[in-house]
Amino acid sequence: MLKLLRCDMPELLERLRTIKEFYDEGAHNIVPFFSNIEMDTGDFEMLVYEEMWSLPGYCDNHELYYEEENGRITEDSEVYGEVWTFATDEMRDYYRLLKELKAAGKISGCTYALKRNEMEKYIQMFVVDSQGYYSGLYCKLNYGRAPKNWCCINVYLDYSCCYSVFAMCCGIIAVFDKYAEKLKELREEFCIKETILEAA
Amino acid sequence: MELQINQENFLSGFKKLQNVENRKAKERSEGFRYLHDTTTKRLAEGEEFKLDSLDFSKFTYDDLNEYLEYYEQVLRPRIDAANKLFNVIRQAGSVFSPGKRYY
Repeated sequence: MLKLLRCDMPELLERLRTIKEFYDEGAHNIVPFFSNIEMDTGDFEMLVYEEMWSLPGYCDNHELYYEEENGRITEDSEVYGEVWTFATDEMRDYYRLLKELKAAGKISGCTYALKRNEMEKYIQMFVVDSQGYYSGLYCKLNYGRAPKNWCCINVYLDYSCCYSVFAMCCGIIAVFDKYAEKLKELREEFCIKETILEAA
Repeated sequence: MELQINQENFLSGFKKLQNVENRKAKERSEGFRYLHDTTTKRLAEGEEFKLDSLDFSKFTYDDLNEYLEYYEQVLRPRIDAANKLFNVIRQAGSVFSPGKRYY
């Protein structure tokens, strides 16, 4: 009975609702990620923050500093936020395949642009819009530069504003699950069809 | 006012789904029942809540919204009352504890 009394059920149900929202969007890796985190506690956001390093595609995290008057960052510079960088193999393969298909003339420039825009919209919807009325988070999709073209997603957190790391983690997981899904679709549509034709 | 604690009756209100004015317990959807069994009922039986024990394909977003509403209307007032009662007992315990001489 004490477990029931100690648990903040409305909070727990609200969190389940957020997870369900992303799960229905195809984020099936969301449950394994949050399984090790205690859901029915007031420290939930802090516990999630501590697990952000184990998010899919985690690459880097560093703090952001205000520049001094001379435009430099010194030991005395004040921290104002942090940036998180994420990228997965599926994400990179997705853009590489898109470029290859465009170069081979299998998709038009218009389709290529549409598919890129589609993913940008998903990132906006899952990572940024899911913050609701919080305004302390913004993100940037970096397509990378030649020769490696290693693209990534940068998420900026501003300490002077509010943000939900829980919603952010849900969004990041949903985005990379979407990349995996879209890559599979693209391969099925173009690569598998081609292999069958070559075999015939 | 005399207070009586009957743990069995109190907990059964959380273990079994309750009828609400316009909605009988048996009319609830399977997803709604599943949510109740894996969250509130589980906690009322003294077990921990585990996210990975929840199958998100077994209920809909609407089931979850409906369950949240049910919790707020039916279960939350009971929880709040029980919490008040436990606080009274806890405070009384701190005053009348045999080891203490504050009374």
